[in-house]
Amino acid sequence: MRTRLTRRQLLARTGAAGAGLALGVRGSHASPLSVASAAAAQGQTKDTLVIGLGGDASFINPVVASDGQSYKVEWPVFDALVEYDENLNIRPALAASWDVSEDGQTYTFHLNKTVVWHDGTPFTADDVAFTFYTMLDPKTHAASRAFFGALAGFAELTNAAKPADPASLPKKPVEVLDPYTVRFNLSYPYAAFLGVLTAPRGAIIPKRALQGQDVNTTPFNTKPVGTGPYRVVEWRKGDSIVLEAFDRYYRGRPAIRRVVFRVIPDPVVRTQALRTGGIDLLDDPPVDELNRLKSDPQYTVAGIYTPSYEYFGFRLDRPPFNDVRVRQALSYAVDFDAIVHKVLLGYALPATGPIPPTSWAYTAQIKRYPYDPAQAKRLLSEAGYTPGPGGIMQKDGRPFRFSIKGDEGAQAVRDAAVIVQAQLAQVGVQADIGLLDWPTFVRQLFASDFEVILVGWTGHPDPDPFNYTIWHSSQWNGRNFAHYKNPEVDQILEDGRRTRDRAKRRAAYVKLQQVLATDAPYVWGYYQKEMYVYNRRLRGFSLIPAQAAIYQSLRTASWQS
Amino acid sequence: MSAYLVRRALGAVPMLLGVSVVLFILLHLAPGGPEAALLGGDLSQQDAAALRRSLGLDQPLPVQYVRWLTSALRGNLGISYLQGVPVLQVIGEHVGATVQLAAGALALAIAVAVPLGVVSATRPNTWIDRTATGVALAGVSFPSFWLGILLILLFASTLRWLPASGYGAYGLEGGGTDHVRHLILPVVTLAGTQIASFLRFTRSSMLEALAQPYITVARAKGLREVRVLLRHAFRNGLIPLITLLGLSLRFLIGGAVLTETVFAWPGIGRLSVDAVIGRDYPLLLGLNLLIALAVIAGNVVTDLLYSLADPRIVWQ
Repeated sequence: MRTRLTRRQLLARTGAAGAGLALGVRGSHASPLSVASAAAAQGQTKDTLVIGLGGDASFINPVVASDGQSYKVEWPVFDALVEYDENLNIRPALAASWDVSEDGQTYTFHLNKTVVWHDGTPFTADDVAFTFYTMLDPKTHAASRAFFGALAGFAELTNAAKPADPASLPKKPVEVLDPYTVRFNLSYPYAAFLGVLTAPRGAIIPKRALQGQDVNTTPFNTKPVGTGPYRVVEWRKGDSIVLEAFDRYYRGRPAIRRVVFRVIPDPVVRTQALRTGGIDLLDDPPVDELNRLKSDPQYTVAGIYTPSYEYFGFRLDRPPFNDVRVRQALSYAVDFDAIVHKVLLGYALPATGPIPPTSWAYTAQIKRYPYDPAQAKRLLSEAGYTPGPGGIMQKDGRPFRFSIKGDEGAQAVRDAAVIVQAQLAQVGVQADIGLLDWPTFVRQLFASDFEVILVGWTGHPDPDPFNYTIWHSSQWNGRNFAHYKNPEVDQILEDGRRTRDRAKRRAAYVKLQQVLATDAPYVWGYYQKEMYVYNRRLRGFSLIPAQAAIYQSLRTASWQS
Repeated sequence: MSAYLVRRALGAVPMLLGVSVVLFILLHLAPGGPEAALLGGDLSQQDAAALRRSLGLDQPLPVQYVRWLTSALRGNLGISYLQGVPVLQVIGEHVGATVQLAAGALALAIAVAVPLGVVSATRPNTWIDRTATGVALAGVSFPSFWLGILLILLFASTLRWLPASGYGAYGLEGGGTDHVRHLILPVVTLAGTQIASFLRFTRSSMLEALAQPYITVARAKGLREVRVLLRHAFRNGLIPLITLLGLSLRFLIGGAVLTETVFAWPGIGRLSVDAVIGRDYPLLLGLNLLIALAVIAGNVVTDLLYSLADPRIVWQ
């Protein structure tokens, strides 16, 4: 499911209402309105980068923060053992190197000995062990715990009713071998393990600063100490977070001295802030502004497909959606191309499955169901439906009618729901729109209390963590709330996670995409591009196909003089 | 007067208790829970259950209420789920911004609306009157987010006189003037929505006062018109304005969601919306109690001001 920040939801509404007003107004030069833009206007060397975010972070602590805005701020503050590069290969970060045992169940990391925390204390293996034991502790409000299910003793340690003492376990999940060597023991070979260790979900927090404190409520969460290229110097809640380059960063001090995250909830106002020079980088730009910004030589417009995608899903274990012909019929009846072009103005790609085009596991061989209402009607009649009163299809005297649930706070969902409703009406299916506020929707989703949903998944750069939990039949109490069950897919998912050979893994996930295309458990929606607009004199950003990962590259960014 | 104040303060206690019970029940009746915001997209059923247990949400509602109340009576309103810090601290971090914005807007609204209202009342149905009422009507009809965006486009984007949004310089630089510059547009926007009500109240109560026999007497005595207006009519026409002012105190503390959102102003209004969407029960309780307190205080202040404006009103 998409980790949306709550603030964005309200803002999507006010912003959308005002979006049309910005037409034709464009700033032509930066103005000395803010401290940050003053230097730029006079062409001096700039040492501050101001980023406009749609919402504030909640915690700057990767173990307890789960929302998208917190992730953005955590990237430059906390490093993890390893990180992804632009091609989703794993490269060293806090760990200089690592060995993996023959059976794929033991990972030994040799830490970089030159790393120091922002408070000057050395980074050691104790910090790594502390981070993971804190995360596994069921008292910790850790959103990412489930990603580490392969660790030995996971079930015992995370048992909320009676959590086990790590000392009592026959095989410990994390062992400190010496101050600069740490070992992870898994209960089964898990190919995605290095992938889940990347930041921010796998970022490391300091033992010394946090030991003996309640990690959910410690003041550390607002004044954190990390190992990243930037340290937090000021956080004015709801307004701004100021970071300063960390002189002793182990990969060299970053070029930009100061990074400021400014919270500007309204997307129209955020865009105006870019035009007036109040910010240098616009996060989450409104799509209806992108074409104008693109044609302006002052800005660089960049975008990347992250692992996220949107879909139209069903409760698969109940009629009528337990019939594959019905699901295929709806796949022919709903035209996501239209949604991509009308709602997202082309800043998205119609999806063909659960793996985005930037992944090594993606296959371009799969074709979408074309928009074909006639074929949809044929399939529905094969499934036993006949036209009834008012042209509504019916079976056994019951009309084909359902309510689409989704997040009412998301503008794209509201727009898509209306289009989907109209398209379904073309084939005699009556869809009511029953969007809910986010907390209500999430609870109903995970209680499988729905017939039809319009929602998305954030995903992970590695194909395992989300696909396994969404499609494996053992996960009906978790992300497989649509109750998908297919023994062939179960086997494919097991194959995909147990071998570390990328070619074999790719073969498994290509097969997964093929089976899911035929099975049509979702009407695949679209992969939306994560877009950024920034001052063209900014250099050195790299777009990594992971959620908000542009902020991982803040350490290499610089102002062109 | 102090006896009166003590009595009012004591009377507020059962009212706040009642408010807290009703709020507690209503908040927990709302569907959904804090796990959506706290665990977000990585949610699993097991983690959600662990979270609810850790927050004490697995206990029966009366138990939860008594726990909250005993802690609240000791001055601890609990810890915000969304921010992990004490509720009072969270409110403290945002209330200043809201008070500045609302007090500024209120002051501006009064400064513009009251003189205009007086002038309109003395020249009813002339072009001045019609223009003033027309402008005021427009102000209350424009949604504040729209007016706000228009002002940003004009004064920030086109004329470049004022900053588009934000609370003021961050970090070490910047000072008072920068902050005041950031305050101007949101204050004007918010005042725009309030001018109309103040103007119309002033106008109608002045019209009513001006029709009274004592005004005729004052004029017959040969008093100057300004003195008749300000001393005799205005003072007597103040009561409805004071009522309106007292009601505004709630809004001084409660924040203005749309204006705060458009101008990225870190106040209570935006915080409340986040708290609702995140189902941050302790923070919501804290915020609503604060607003209840503001309403009670507003009523007391109104009563005190009544007797200042009109000596015939006494506290009992």
